[in-house]
Amino acid sequence: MRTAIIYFVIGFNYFVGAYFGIVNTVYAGLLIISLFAIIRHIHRVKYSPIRDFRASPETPPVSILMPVYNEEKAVIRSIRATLSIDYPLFEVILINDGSTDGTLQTVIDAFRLKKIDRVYRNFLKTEAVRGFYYNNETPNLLVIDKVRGGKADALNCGINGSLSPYFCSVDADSLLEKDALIRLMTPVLESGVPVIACGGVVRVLNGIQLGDDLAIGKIDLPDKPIILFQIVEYLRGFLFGRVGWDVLNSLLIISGTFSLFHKATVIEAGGFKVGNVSEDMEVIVRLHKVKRSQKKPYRIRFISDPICWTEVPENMEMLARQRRRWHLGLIQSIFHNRDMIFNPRYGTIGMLVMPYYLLFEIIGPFIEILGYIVVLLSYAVGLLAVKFFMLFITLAIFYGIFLSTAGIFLEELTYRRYPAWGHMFRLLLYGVFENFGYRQINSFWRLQAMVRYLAGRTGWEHVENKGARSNEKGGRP
Amino acid sequence: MNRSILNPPNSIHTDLTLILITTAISALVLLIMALLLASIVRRVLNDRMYGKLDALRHEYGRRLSQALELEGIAVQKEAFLTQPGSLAWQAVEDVLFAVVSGGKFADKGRTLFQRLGYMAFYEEQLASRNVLARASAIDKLGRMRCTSSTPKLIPLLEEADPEILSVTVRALSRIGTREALAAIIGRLPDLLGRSLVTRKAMETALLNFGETAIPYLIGYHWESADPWIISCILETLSHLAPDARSMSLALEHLQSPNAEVRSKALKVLGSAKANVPLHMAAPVLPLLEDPVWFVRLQAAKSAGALELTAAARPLGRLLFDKNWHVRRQAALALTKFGHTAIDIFLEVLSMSDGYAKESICEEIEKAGFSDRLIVNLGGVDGTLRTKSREILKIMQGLHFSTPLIEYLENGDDERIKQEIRSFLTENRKS
Repeated sequence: MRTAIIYFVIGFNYFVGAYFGIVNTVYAGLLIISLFAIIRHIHRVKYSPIRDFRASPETPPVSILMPVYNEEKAVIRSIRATLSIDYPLFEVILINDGSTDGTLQTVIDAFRLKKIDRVYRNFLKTEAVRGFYYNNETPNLLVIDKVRGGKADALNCGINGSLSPYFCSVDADSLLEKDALIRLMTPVLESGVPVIACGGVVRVLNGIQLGDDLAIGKIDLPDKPIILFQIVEYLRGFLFGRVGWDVLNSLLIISGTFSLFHKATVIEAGGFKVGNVSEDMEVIVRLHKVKRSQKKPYRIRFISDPICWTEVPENMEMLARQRRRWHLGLIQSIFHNRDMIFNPRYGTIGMLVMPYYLLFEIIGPFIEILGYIVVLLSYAVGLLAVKFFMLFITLAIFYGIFLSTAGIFLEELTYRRYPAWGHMFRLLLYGVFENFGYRQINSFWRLQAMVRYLAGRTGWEHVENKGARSNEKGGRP
Repeated sequence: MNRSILNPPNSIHTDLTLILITTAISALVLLIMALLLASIVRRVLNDRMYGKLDALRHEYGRRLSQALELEGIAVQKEAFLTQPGSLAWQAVEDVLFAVVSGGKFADKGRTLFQRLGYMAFYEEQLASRNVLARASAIDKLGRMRCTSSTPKLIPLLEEADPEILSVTVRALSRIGTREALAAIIGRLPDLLGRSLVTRKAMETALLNFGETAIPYLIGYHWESADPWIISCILETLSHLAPDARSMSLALEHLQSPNAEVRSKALKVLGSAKANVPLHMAAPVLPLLEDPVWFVRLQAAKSAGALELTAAARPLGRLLFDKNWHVRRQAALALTKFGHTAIDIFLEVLSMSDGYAKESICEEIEKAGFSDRLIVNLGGVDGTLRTKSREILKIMQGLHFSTPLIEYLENGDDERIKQEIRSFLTENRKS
């Protein structure tokens, strides 16, 4: 028995060495690519024709879809902020997904909406629509009230009600910067191949003061460590993870909190998948699948200057729910489309990205937790060399700190939305602290999600935020 | 937790592993320190630089506004001469950009750009091998709006790189000279055909020329038989202020064999709203029966915009069009005709096409026309009352009854409420 354990421990150690090496090589590669891509992008933005696009007949109309469920506290702020964005032709479609609080009545009262009857074409099957609300004094706002069916169902309903060729999904507790949508549309207007989806950056709204016009006012960092950890994560995830994958045209995730889609393509792909807890990722995987199958040129883009601010969980319980849900969504998205894995028909997506997500993002937490167990086991059978172990752990921790510092450096290099010296040092400090506990607990939650998936427990976990009660947040960094 | 954390088999392996891990950790520490240092240094330098730049901008802005009040530019020049690439250079540039972007001193600002050497500096950069540097120089020359840069920019329209081409088209459109416009128009076939990016840039940029572009676009169009170019010219004209020359051109093309051209010509006419004389608007009517759906769609839109009452009946027929975009647009156009539309709506709603009827009902509600119909129920005009009643009754039968229910709950005219109740009862019985 002891011999078997020893062989297992030795074998596992070789495996982990290779695994650790591959993951960190991928991260380092993404970081280098992102650095060049971001520097190039910020130079290009200086002569980007955004002002011309505001008056251009080429700028297509967009429907901003805002699914809400029990968002009574934040919904008016979000609608007003969204209606005030700088974009030539847009409509806001708020989809009340069977809220049980006063969300619908609050919106009706605030915008003096009247119930109207509307021809509703059910291109994508959804739960029943209970009514449409409209006021021709605010002609670019439409409210659809429907029976509860989840965020994906609400988005599908919004797509059915939309009359624009593009739609942008936005969470109700999020705030778009004034020029965020026109910047998000820029790749569509400047690309030589059809851009079927495009994601922007999501930043943490907690701690931000809003101006009178509901625009982002004074930017400050909150005091709660749990939020600071998330800010560092968001910077890292958005500024080098996604930028790197975007350069390789291999994006698998754009945040559902703020992303633009070509409507006809999404309808062609069957819309958002009801029952998947991370509909934003799942739909992207399916869009790749459809387009690669058709062998048609397309791009799914991520660009780093359109910014949407969103609230994040402020306590461990809510954060745990959110992270389990994200990981569960990732597992569902990959397994629902498992025929793409190592399938050359799907190009880099099938041969590189899907296997990467399966082997490293999905299984990663399991390997990490198993690693901790094996360390204990090695110690028990007398195989552990404490000196080597400590060195290896130090290496892993320093690599984590390096990645976080790189994320913060990219922020410094580019947009510098956290202007004070104190902001930078606190973020750097939390980039260090997150390696001692926060990262491990995240892995534990992700492992829990794996166990739940295997046990068939794939339901929504409700997340409540401070400014708004919401259960279906996107915003994955 | 790889092989190295186990008790190693021999000392050479141990040493090698130890060295590797320690080197990796040291490299990481160095990288972290480098990033940290780079962030701090960059911030310090940026803070210092932008602080100075703000102060310089303020100072030069103050000096320039005083100097511009004086007439002689030559006298002012010395006070603003700076070293290219220096902070003062950038500050003067920013201040001058603010001046040339509008206001009474725009011309003086342009002259100063030239006399201070900015134009020469950026024109030199047009030969750079770095695409970003070239694009930035082109963009700046465009923003300076100095007409003398036009000859330097025009040859760049021959470039193969779509990015350089797009920035050049935009820069020339900002300068806005006839020479620039002629150069762009002269290369329309190439710019339109080169790539999607340049086509979009071109269509956006042409609008920057404003009304100046109208005679050139019209003049050029006679030289081209390419329907793609003609439709692009008409599209641009439809976004510029309505003009008699544009209208005449649009009328010329209403009979074009190319559907795209017919549709764009209709768009130009529609852009004039209700200011087009009837004899000019009348040719829209036959196009309401065009075999191509998007021409019919544009014809319906233009007929509505022109408030062409003669189009009411053909629009009524379009309510049964096989394309739902056309049906919806026809219904929307009809709601703009007020009482004239009532007969048409009544006629159409009495027919059997359920889908068309629903589209009409939706537009009637969205446009607030249903409220007008409800008010008619209490009016003195008996015919109008009867027709309005009939339409509302049909709408109610098609489940477009929300305005009626709302009125019953919140309305104040008891006579109207009675009227609504009566036909609600009739509908229930039937």
